[in-house]
Amino acid sequence: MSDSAQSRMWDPQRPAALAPLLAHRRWWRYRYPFPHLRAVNVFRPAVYAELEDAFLSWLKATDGGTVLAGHDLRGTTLSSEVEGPLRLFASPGWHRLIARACSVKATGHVNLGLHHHRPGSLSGFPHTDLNPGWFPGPVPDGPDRPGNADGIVLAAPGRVDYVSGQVSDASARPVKVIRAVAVIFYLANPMWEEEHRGETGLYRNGGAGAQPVTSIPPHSNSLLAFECTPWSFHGFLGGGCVPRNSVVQWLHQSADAATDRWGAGQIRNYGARA
Amino acid sequence: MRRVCLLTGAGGVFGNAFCRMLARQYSIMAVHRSVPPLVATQQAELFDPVAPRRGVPESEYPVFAVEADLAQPAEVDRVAELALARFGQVDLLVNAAAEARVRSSTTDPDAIGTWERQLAVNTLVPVHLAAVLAREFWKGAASVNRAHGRNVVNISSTAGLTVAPYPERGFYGASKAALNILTAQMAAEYQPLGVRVNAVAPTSFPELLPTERVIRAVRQLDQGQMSGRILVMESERTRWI
Repeated sequence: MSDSAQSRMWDPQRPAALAPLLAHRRWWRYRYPFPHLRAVNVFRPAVYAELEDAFLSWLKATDGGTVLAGHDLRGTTLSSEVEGPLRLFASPGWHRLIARACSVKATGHVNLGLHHHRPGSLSGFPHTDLNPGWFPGPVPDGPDRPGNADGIVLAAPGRVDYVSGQVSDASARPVKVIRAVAVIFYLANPMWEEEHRGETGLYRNGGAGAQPVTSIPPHSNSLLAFECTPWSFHGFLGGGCVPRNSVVQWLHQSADAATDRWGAGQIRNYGARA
Repeated sequence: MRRVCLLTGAGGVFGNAFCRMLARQYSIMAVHRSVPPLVATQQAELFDPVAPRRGVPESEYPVFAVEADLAQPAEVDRVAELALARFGQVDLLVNAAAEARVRSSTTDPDAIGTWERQLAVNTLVPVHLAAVLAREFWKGAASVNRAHGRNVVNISSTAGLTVAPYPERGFYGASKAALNILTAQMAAEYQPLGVRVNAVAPTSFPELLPTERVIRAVRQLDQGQMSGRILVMESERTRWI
């Protein structure tokens, strides 16, 4: 395959262009404890192998990146320069596929990251992900609009701080949007056994002492996605004996749309506990 | 009215294939551990991620999925209770839950600790679950049970028939050998209840044997009349013992 064909393969412009990369065309839509999507064996083996190789190359080169504030995990945010297999998760086709599967109208703003939990990492706390995020402007029309299939804007921590909106590049003109969908794609994990832990716990509420009512094991090449709502409480279940690796991403909606739907009081700053 | 099947091990290779192939023929209660079967359930519908608004035919017959750790005896009771509460009857019990891990006690210091669980899941759970159904539903209804062709199929293994040339498989094989003996014992015990009990003992699937063949064998046992038999399924041939 030529370099340009490879490049196109990892940057599909429409959901239909992803079909040859998917291992099958059946994902699950769950209703409990809050609406979410699950899929296993997401990509064809050869495609998954390239995604895993790309992730492991990053892991080897960075030892997992930097410690993320407020969490017992390491990671990095991928910028618009991301190339190769991981570009897939920043592609318009993937964005539109996830947005449609979750029935949300997304703006094209994507925070894409790589996460690495070391063995013994502590559990996180239940949180909804209904948080604001800041991006360099201007606001694109959104990839669901005809003729604007390229409108993906990746978070750019070097220019605009995603959490605070603080600008380090005066030309950035930051815009605030609200997380609409969270996606976790598990990869490069050992064959999962119960004692490994590292699942994503799903909760009915986020109060003190809340316990997960179900948990999603981090099987390699599997995926969890859900609309960020005031009830989408989830969290990392730690204490395992092996690392837990994932690609994480958030799609976003406009601040007006989120406020109209959920109310301003439901949109919490990143890291706030219920 | 569709026959009601209580299936354990629904998240495994056999269980997944069983649900995929037979959800139309049976009302299935699919008992799984952490991973549910890859089919539509009462909690989850299937959809095509590329065309998410279009319905898919597989969602037409959802199985009733129940998460349970059957190594816990109370969970076995709960599963039987749920099956009867949900469907009011069980016509076919397929004991397919298995701990397939193989370990050698001479090289793995943790092996002994895992054997208890393997014995519980592979050998004791099939007997326990059938016994609860017998006490709670099949007892005192022999003629009705016979008329409905009610029966149990234990999924055993050729590993329970011969000594393997490698030591790691010892306890797995022993657990399946015990299941074979218990199948014959159960057949005698359940005969007065009008319930048949058989086993299928396949070689490794899907590696050496298509999983679909094992499913078809279970289907034939459900539709047949025999009891107390073990259908040995090797790569090339099948035989009864």
